[in-house]
Amino acid sequence: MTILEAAAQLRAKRVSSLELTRACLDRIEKLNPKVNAFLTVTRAEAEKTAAQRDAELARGVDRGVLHGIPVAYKDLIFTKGIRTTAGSKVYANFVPDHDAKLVEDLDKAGVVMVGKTGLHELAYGITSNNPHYGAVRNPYDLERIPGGSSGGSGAAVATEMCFMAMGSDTGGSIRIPASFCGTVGLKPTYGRVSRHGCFPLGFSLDHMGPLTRTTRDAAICLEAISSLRGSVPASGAASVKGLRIGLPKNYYFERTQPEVVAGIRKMADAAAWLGAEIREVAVPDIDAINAVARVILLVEATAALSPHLHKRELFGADTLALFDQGRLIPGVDYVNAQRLRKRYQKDFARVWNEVDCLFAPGTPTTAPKIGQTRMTIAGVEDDVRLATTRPVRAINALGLPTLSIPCGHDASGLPMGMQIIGRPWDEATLVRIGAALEDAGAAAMRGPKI
Amino acid sequence: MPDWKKAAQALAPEIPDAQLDAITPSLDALEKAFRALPVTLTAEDDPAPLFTAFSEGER
Repeated sequence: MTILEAAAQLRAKRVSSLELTRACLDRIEKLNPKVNAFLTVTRAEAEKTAAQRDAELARGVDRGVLHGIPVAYKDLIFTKGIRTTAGSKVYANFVPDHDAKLVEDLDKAGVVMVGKTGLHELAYGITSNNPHYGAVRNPYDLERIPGGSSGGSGAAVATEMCFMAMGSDTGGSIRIPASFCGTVGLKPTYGRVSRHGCFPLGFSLDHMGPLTRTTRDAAICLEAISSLRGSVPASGAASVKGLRIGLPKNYYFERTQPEVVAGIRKMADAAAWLGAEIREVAVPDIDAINAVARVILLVEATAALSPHLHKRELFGADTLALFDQGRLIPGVDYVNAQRLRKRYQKDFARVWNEVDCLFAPGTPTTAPKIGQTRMTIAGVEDDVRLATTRPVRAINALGLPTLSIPCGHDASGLPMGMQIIGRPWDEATLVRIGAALEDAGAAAMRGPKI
Repeated sequence: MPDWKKAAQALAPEIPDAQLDAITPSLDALEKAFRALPVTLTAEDDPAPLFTAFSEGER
C-alpha cells in the first residue's frame, strides 16, 4: 500500500491510523530480527499518536495526506526524548531535547513515528554493516547489504515496516539504498530541506530526503518538509510529453553492470513511448568532480567529529580510516576543492541547455554481499565503496536534485535503480517523470519474498 | 607523493603506523586524481560556500 492509497482508505473510514500503525509495528516485530532495519521501535508512543490522529479526523481536523501515516526517521535525525545514535558509539546515549526541523514539519503534517532506522556508522559509508549495532540486511537477500548510509530506511520501506523513512545523502546515501532495496529515494536540491537537528557529516554536502514506495509519495513528503508546492501530479495525469531526457554519452554507462545499463535504456524507451525526446549528451569530467567531492567530504567529516577522534576505540575500522585520511588533507586543498566545485557547477549547468534531465545508474551494480570489499565491473577491479559511489558522489558536490527509482531486477532477482538528475530547484520535473513511468508500469517492482 | 608518514607524525594524536599503511594507497590515489586540478584555478574562482554577514538589524 502507498501513502496515497492509505490516505484514501483513512478518509473512507475503511481503516484507522491505529490499525495502519499496528500493522507496521507488527511487521517490524516479525521482520526486524532478520533485517535489523530499526534501532529503536517506539510502539507505545506510536499507538498513542495514532489514536490522537484518529480522534482528530473524527472531529473533522484533517492535516492533509500524511495525517495518520506511519513513518520512520534515520537515527541521525533528532527526535525529542528518543535516543538518537547516528549509528555511533559516540552518541550511544544521546537523547535530544528537541526535534529536528523536518520532524517538526512532518509532525504538523500528521505523521505517526514508529521508530528510528539503522545506518552506516555516522552515515560515513555505503554498507550499513554497523560494527556497534549490527549489519542491516537487504530484504531481497539477507546475505547482501541494503546499501547506505540510509540502509535501515531502504530496508524498512521495502518490507512495508513503514510508508516512508527519512534518509540523508552526503555521497549517495539516499540513492544507494533506494537502488539496492527497490524503493524510491528523493535527494532534493542542496538547501531545499533544513538540516537543523540532524547530525552533520559533510556540512556542504548533506541533503535530507525521503525513501518511499512511489514517486508521488516521495513528493508528498518532500513538500511537507520544504517550501516546494504543487509537485504531485494527480492520479494518471503525469506526462513527459515534450521533455528532453538526456542519456550521458560518457562516464555513466562505463564500469556499470550490463543489466543495469539495459534497465535504464528500457526506461528511456518507455519515456520515449510516452512522448519524451531522448538525446545523447556529453557530461563534464565527473572523475574530477568526484575527486573534489572526496576532498571536501574527508575534511568536513573529520571536522565534524574532531572533538571525539582521540578516542579511537569508539570508531569502527572503516570510518576511522576515513577520518585519518581527512586529518592528512591540507587546508589549502579543501579551499581549492571548494573553488573547483563552483567552477564545475557552472560547467555542468551547460548540460541543461540541451536536456531537462539525465538518466543515469543509481548504482553501477545490484547489492554486493555483506563483508565484500572488492568488486570487478567491466574488467576494472575497485573498492566496493568507491565503485558504488562512482555515479552518485559528484551530484552532492553539484547540489542537484535527483530522484532514484527502480528500473527492474537482475537475473538473480535483485533490484536495480536509476537516477533522474535535474536542474537545481526543479524537483517537480523529476517527480513528473518518475510518476509517468510508474503510471505506465515501467518502474514496477516485485517486493522482497521475506 | 607527499610523505604521509612525516605528516602523520606531526599530528596529535599520531596515526598508528599500521593504520597509516592501510590508508596510504587511498591517499595516494586521491592525490593523483586531485593534484593537477587546482593548477587551473584563477583569481576569479571563489570557493562555493562563502561567508555572509548578518543582514542589517540581525545579530
